[in-house]
Amino acid sequence: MIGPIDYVFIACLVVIWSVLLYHVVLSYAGYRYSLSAQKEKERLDETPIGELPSVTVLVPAHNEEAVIEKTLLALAAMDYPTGKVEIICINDGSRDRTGKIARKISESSKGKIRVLDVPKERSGKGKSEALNFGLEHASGEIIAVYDADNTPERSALLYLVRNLVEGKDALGAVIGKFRTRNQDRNLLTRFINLETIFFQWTTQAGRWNLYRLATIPGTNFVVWTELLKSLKGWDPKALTEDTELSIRIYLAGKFIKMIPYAVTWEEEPERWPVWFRQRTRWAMGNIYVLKKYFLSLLFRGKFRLYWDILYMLLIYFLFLTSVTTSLVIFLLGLTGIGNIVLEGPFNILWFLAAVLFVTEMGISLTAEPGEDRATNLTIALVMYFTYSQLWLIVMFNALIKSFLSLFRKGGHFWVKTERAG
Amino acid sequence: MDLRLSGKICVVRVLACLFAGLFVTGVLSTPGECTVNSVRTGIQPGGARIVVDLDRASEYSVSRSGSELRITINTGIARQLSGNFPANRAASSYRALPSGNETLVTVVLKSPEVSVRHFKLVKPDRIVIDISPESKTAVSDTPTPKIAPAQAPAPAPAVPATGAQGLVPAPGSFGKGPQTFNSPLTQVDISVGSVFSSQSFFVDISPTWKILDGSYIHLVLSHSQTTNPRISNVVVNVNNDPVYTIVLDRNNIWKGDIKIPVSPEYFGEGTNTITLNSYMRSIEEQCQDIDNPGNWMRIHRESFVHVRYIPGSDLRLMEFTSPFFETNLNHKENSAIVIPDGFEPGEAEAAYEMLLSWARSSRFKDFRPKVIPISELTTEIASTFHIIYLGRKEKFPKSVHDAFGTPASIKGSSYLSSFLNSQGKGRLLITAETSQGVSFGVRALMLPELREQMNVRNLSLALDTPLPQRKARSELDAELPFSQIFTGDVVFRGTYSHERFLSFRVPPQWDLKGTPRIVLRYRHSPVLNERKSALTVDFEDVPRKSAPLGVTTSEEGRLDVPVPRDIKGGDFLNFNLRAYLDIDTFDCGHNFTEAAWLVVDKSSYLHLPHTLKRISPLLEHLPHTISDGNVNVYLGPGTDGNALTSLGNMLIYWQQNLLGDLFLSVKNLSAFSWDGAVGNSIVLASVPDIRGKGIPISVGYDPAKKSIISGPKVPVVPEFGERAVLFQLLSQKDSSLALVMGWARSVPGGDIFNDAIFRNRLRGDICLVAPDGRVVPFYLETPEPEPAGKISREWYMEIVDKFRGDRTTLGIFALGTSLVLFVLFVSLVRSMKKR
Repeated sequence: MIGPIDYVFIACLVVIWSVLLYHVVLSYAGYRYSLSAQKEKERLDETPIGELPSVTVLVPAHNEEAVIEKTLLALAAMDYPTGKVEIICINDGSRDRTGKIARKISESSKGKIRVLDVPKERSGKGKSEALNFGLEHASGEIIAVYDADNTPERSALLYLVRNLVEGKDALGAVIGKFRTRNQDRNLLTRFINLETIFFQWTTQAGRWNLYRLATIPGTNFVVWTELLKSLKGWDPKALTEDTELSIRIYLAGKFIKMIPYAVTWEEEPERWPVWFRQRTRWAMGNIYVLKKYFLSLLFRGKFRLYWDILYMLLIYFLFLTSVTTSLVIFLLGLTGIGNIVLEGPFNILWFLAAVLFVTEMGISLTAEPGEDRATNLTIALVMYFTYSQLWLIVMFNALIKSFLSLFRKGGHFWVKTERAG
Repeated sequence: MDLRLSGKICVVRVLACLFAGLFVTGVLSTPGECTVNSVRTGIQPGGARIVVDLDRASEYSVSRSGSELRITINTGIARQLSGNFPANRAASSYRALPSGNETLVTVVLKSPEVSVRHFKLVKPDRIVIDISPESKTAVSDTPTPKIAPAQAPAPAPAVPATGAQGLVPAPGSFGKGPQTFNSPLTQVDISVGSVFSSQSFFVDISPTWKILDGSYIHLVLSHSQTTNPRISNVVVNVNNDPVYTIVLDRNNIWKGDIKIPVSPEYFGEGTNTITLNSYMRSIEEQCQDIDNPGNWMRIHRESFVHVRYIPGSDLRLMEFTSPFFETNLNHKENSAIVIPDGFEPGEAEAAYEMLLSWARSSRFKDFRPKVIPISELTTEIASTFHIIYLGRKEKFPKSVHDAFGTPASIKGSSYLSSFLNSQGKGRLLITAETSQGVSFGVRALMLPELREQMNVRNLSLALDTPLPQRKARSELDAELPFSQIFTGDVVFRGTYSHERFLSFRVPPQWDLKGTPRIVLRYRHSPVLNERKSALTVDFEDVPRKSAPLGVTTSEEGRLDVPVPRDIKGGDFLNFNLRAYLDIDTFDCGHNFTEAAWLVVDKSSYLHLPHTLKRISPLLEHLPHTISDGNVNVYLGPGTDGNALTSLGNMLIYWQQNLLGDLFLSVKNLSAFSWDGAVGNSIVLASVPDIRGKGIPISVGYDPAKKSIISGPKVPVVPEFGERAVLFQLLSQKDSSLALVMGWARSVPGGDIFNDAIFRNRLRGDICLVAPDGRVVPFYLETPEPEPAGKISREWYMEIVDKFRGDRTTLGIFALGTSLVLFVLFVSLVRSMKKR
């Protein structure tokens, strides 16, 4: 006789496999997009650049002495007409040598780089606040944002801006791709490298290809200054200010395009505690976004956007809850407390899920030249049983913290990601 | 006294003096008649200088007769001396002759109107005569630079670059700081009345001046009101390099002031040429205004060149690496690092650290500094080389410290001092009580952020001064700017066709992926005809892509060129930059004009995304076989200047070819243990010493004949025996590599090492180089790659490679697998439902 526990188990299976199969679709869409993006890039390379608008590059920096020099030098070397780009390093209350290093580079940059110190009363309140301060001092027609640990490829900004200008009427922002600079440092950075490739070729490129949706990743993107100002900048309460801003851009009737050939290289956490804190912040930020928009979007008729919010809900709540529940059921069975009556090849199914994950990863890796290696598929298999499972802990930690924050004054907290340099 | 005997005594004494001068500090006083040691010439800020070196003080007199200046010295001279002055405006040559018991020095002047200043100096005794053109001397054809005020003779200058350690005591301590002078371009207004014209002006720069930022050309121009600004311009060149284009528009119709900043690197020592190439048209139609009298321009006499400089005696430490690094292809061997005899490993390490730092800062310059112990410092080297002294204080003679003003006590600090001598040769001392202190001083000087603060000639740096950590540069960077891998800007000047071949060897350990490409950033003259002018990139003589050169790209243009997909790690990426430049002009003939120019900027870059792969440990793959940038160097006993210099040159070559940074740790061979060796090593020693340390080299050694003999698998032909040089690459027990460089009888001259290294002739895992340059490689542990340069690969890598890059195949495969899994899943769910 099938009992409630069986129904719960079936529901979990359905959710898990729905997500897995949905990602197969997204992976394939991402793969298709990689082919068309390559042609698009070749077209751009063949056509004259023409007149370009002025750009202000914002680089928020809070205690970034280990990385800021390399970042500013890389930004100053980017392919963009001199005189049409200004780089603003926003020194957000750094207590280390960030400001000093930035100023030194600024002095030798022939006016290309400016350093702004965030006033005391506004400093240390997170990236959104720092970016809003930078926005107040920006003079470019377009705002570009790069994190302080980024080394963009020289052509990245040019590609982003050319796409934004070409799609002026429809596009509010254009985002590029970020890659892991320190991927060979240890196993964690290798996991993160695969995760970022997977995320960008499925969730970003796949969604853009299927229904013209993409989410600003927080770095390596450009947005019209006028639009940004009309949206009153970044939400200072949001921990994932980029996701939150993306939704407002869509609500303003504009699209966000993802182009994979505008690449920046960034440093990812090299230690598990740093990774855990960063991912917890991201998860909390997404919970905030869900809370802010889940109901309001439903009544505004933005169904495509709502589908995206549902996807976020599916990933952050249903999928992880289902995986956890299935694990609990498995443990209950082991201890003899409760068993499912259903008979089925669940071990095979469990194994197949892992294979499917690796397959999806393989599809994404085909779009990333040089990463389509057997080693990476092996790492992906290990990743499924280790790294991916840790997301459960991250998610529950974020949920608990978000819940507790309801009773705490001061709203949100911002955890600075430590850099290794 | 018999004259012949007197002559012999004289010669013997001269030799004795020179010999003593080589090895003994100070000047030995030698009684006798022959007291004129040498005569030296040079230039000084006001003109020429001649210095007569004496063994002891003597009376003298100076007289003039027309274009001759005569100096009569009340002492004898062993032999007749003569020579020329370096380029200057006052004197051309001299001759010193014995005249009875006196010496007569005759100087041929370039003009009778010169001013002469002369004075005697002591310790050592010498007579100095400065000859300068009269300041009111009129100049007709060639504009005269306004010479900076001649400096008063230094209180205790100047034995030149000859003698003991080749030192000249530095006058003063901190100098007067930067100075300026303005040199008028012309004494009278110059009018130009043709469509094309070229006017040259000259400015003299003393070799003892260090030119600074802040120099500029101030032009005052007028031109016809009818000049068409769309097509009329003046290109300003400094020593044939275009630095600025002036559009002849309404802003400068009458006495337009134009200030053109000129970077110090555009100036050279001696006479510098400033050329104004003008192109003036009134109307754009073809063949219409060649004889139009309305095409005129005037260069006013108010135009001048403003030079900001510091005199040689004021050379600051912050100016380093100047002048030691200001080399060109013809003078690549112009600097020497001198370390003490019986040097400690730390002192050699400091020398190599300095060389590597130079190599990092300029990866394309061909420079070959010497590294020698002080006993190998000859008079010739001392007089023709810039010299850097690195070593413990106690190990250098007093004369060195006197020249540099080393304080009596430098305990707990590193002392740094520098100056230019009167012949424009740089001198630098870095000393301390310990070799660690010397190394600290070198590191401090090589750090740009610290060096910028060294705005003095000499300083003591506390050894507890915190220095930033050394950071190895990542090899992962996919973008290689031209400034890093080629010789900077590529300049095309003048109309019609131009071509420049560029080549870059992709590091053999790079596995290229993605879309490699070349991105050119360029700027050009705004008057180029867009329909005719283009920049093209060729691969293997096949044009790949072009860009028209029009007004919109004149300030900044960009050309993105995909690289052929078959380029692999180890291959040479060869490409041609070709340009055809033409201007909007009449087509009445083939008119060449430098108004057409194109600069492919040094910020252009190669975009070569890649992953790293393992390469086999063969000599031909050096230095890329070094897995990380850290290398231990072990020096055997008897390592002399030849060996040190060869190693230094090899390290420079490595550093220039590696994209990452190289860091050395130098030790004595006695510290090396084959069984316990950790990290990459270079062993530089004689073959018996190498064998004595138990290093399993593949050749034998015959102690009786002192020659290399055959070893396991390596037959040695007789002529390779005695003077052969051995290179062998061995895998150590921790899987790192050891490069063994050995010699049989004595350390060979630098050319053998250098020839083998610089001409990429080393092959195999062991290689013998004969004195005549023949190279015999052996592939003992690692098979010879086929074809040469191709890396051996595992069989399965070929299959993987077929998938790599073939995204369609892999994508379809992945999609198919997903669909199969989906079907499997649906069938499983259906089977569960049935139950």
